[in-house]
Amino acid sequence: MQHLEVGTIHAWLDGELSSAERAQAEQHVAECAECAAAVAEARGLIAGAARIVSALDVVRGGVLPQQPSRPAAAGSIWRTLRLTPTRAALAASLLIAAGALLSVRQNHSNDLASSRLISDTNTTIQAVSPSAPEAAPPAAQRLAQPASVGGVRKSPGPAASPKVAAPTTAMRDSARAKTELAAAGGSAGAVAVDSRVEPQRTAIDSVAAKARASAANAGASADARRQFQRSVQLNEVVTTGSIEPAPGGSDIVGCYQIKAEPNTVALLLPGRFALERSSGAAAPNVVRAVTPEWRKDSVVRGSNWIQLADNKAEIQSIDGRKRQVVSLSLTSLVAGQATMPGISQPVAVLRAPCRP
Amino acid sequence: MNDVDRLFREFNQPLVRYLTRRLGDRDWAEEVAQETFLRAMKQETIVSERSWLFAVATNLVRDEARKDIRRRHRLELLREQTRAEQVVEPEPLTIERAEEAAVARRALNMLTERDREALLMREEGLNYTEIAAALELTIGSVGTTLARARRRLVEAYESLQQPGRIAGGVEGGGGAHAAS
Repeated sequence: MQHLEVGTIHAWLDGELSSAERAQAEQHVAECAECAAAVAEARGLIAGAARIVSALDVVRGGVLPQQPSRPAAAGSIWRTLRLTPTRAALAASLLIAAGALLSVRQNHSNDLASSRLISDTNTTIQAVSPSAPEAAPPAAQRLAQPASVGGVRKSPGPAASPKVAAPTTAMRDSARAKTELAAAGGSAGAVAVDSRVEPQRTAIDSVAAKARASAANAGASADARRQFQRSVQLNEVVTTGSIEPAPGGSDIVGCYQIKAEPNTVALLLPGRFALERSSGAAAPNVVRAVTPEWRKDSVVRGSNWIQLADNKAEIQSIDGRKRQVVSLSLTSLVAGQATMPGISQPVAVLRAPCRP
Repeated sequence: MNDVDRLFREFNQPLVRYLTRRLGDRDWAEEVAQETFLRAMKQETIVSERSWLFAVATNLVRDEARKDIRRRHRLELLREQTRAEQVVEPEPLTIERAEEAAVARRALNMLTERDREALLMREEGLNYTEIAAALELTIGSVGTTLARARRRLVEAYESLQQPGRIAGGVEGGGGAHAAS
């Protein structure tokens, strides 16, 4: 049996075979598992290559292409990223500031929960033994001792402020885990936990003032954080399948092209993609790559979507550690716009019928 | 609207995008695109417009890259210094995107010139006939070229994303799937 050549497979998937050749290829693939596997692989390669090429669109003017004859340029991450030490330092500061804000917020929540739990514990201890506070503080109490966080406002302990909000289940779990860790590992365990936290807080000290000074950037970070949290929620919901699409909204299924100018948007999605509903109730809806001829191609790995309204959907893409949420909003049957973190203006979206 | 106006309106955007992806430099890409359209104005007849434009632009890139890469490099360094002094604080997301773009570019640069150009032209919607005409290939070899280019690009990209792996060690995997 004559197998399909890889070039023929790609030509077929690119819609470049004549009808006779296409029929022949289809018939062969239907009978040959080996070639069917090769076709599946080729689909993945086509989608993967398209995505990599679209990542190139995030380039500014004034960047030279790296030539193979310039080993220094190829080997230098600084040159590759066009980072001068000054710019790198600024970028690092902003990254740390954003991380610090998130970390402070997280620690703040955990501290609240810990304090509340420890407050309960202390109350019990005091009821049994009034002299307990003079003794060496228990490990859990040491955990709850306020760390020195200069410039970052920490919540007062429960003794100073009885109006502490009731901790959520997650907070209680977190506090319980800390207490259990301290109890299981004794004070050494607790100190170990503290020693991991302290350097981070020291780093927070050093950048907190800068973070406050960069109010506008902090606002942007807050937006990014909200988007990230929303994205995480979206991911959790979609993977458990507990969100149902809005009723009567099957019209958003179709093929789309994001008309983004190079330099403006780094999409994890292919430039052309199709929204397709999943066959199973619990499975997430899938996103497919679309060829330049508007034919549906392979499923974009790590992408899914939910419909928010008749004319709105959110598409989530995950590529390694990168996550991107694109909010798609149709303004007519054939046009709409997309928004996503990192761009200030919506990007035009073209809708076209998917070809069979 | 004359022919050049129509050509410009129809093909400038895809051509600039192709060149930007090819060169990694929007300004340079626009310069080359302009030069391409200037040449189109001087051309009396163009049979296959899209493949002609892409072929001329590709040849201009090759010529220019050969001729004055040193001069341009020096100018770019000077421009970089100026920009570094003027630049505002970049957002973290921009850095992340730049990193991704840099990895994609390094992966693309690991392809042969022909594979790279064929792939980028295909991504701009050129069909096999147009790619063959622009790159002086036979139509029958375009599929094989694209298959090889896509595989190598994906493998190169993945190898660059995995720390500890040697970035340059991408094995070819082009040829025929099997034949018996």
